[in-house]
Amino acid sequence: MIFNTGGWAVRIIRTLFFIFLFLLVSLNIFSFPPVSSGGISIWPGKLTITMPDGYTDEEIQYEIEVSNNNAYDINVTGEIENPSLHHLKENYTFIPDLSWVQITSDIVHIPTNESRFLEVIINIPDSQKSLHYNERWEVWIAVSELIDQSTDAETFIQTELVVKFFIITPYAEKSQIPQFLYFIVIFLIGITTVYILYIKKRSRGISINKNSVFYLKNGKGVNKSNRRK
Amino acid sequence: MEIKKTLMIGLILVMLMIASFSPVTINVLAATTDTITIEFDPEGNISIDVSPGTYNFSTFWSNTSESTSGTYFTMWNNGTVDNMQTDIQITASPASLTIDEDSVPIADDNYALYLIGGTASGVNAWVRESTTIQLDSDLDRTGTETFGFTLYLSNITANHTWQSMTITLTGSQA
Repeated sequence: MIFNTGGWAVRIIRTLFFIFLFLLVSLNIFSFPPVSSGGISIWPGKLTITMPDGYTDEEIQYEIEVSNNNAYDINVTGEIENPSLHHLKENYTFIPDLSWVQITSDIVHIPTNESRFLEVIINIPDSQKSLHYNERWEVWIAVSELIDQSTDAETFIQTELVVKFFIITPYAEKSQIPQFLYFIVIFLIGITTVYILYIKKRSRGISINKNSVFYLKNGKGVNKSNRRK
Repeated sequence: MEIKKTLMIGLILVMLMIASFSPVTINVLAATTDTITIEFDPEGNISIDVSPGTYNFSTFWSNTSESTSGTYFTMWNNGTVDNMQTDIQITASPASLTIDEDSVPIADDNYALYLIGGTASGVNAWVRESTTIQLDSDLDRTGTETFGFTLYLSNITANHTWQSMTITLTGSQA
């Protein structure tokens, strides 16, 4: 009997299966956004540079990692920018001169699914260092993929990723006293101390000698007086 | 006298050694190595992607407008940080027509682009060459944002051939 009624039971199960399959596909299409695996990614997104011991004598170098997540090779380029006013971080200002920050390579070729580095150099001219103490600057390094704009009459969408550089200048001027002076001062203090100790010791020695002379004299005197007596 | 002279030379040498190894001298000489501190978020990988990458408005007649749908373009935050800010700016080439209008009707020989933000941002604004429009100020990781544009063309008084636009989406960590 069960097998005889199996015809409509199978049809119901089959219908339910197709409804379930339809719902599953519908949910996948409409409920979840399509996933993108393309574009580029950069690291880090922002960083803060401080100089606790005063301005550095040498330029500051830092590397930004750029990864190509596309299925094809790309060329990327970096550009130094000031942030727009509404993006400027509180208590920070624009850098006085954008040319103080530079990128070593104009264009970097990145094969698919690989990473390359963009080197950023911060070099504040010596003549400007004394004018900028205890300041906070925000600079943007905008990294973008170069797009092929050979097609006319097109609207191109270009993505650009920003690394935010926060630069905090030293609090005060580094000591301008030549370093060898510290050595000379310590040496002189040492010599003076030793000399004073030597003089003290010598004078103590002389006073002992005097006492001994007196003692001898007294001794002599006693002897003399004894002799007189 | 010879013993005294030797003693003095010995003392001077000892003082030279003390001065050389004193903490002050060592610290001062060590300060010649410049120190900088760099702080960053080791997990802070940022990435956005937009698809499709192009749109063709094809032949366009003067005093007309044409729209992409409001969800034509999709932007993804593929990075590892939340709170991504995204700005839109536009550049036109060749600059035979100006695209810096922020209202209609548009002055002759100009065109204008109006941003139609998706439901997530709800931003509707004129996109100009001189300013940036914030599309999203808080796009979390794996989050998406949709948008589209309406293009307006003014009255044309001279012959123009083709025009390209580059819409730049700038993503930064908040």
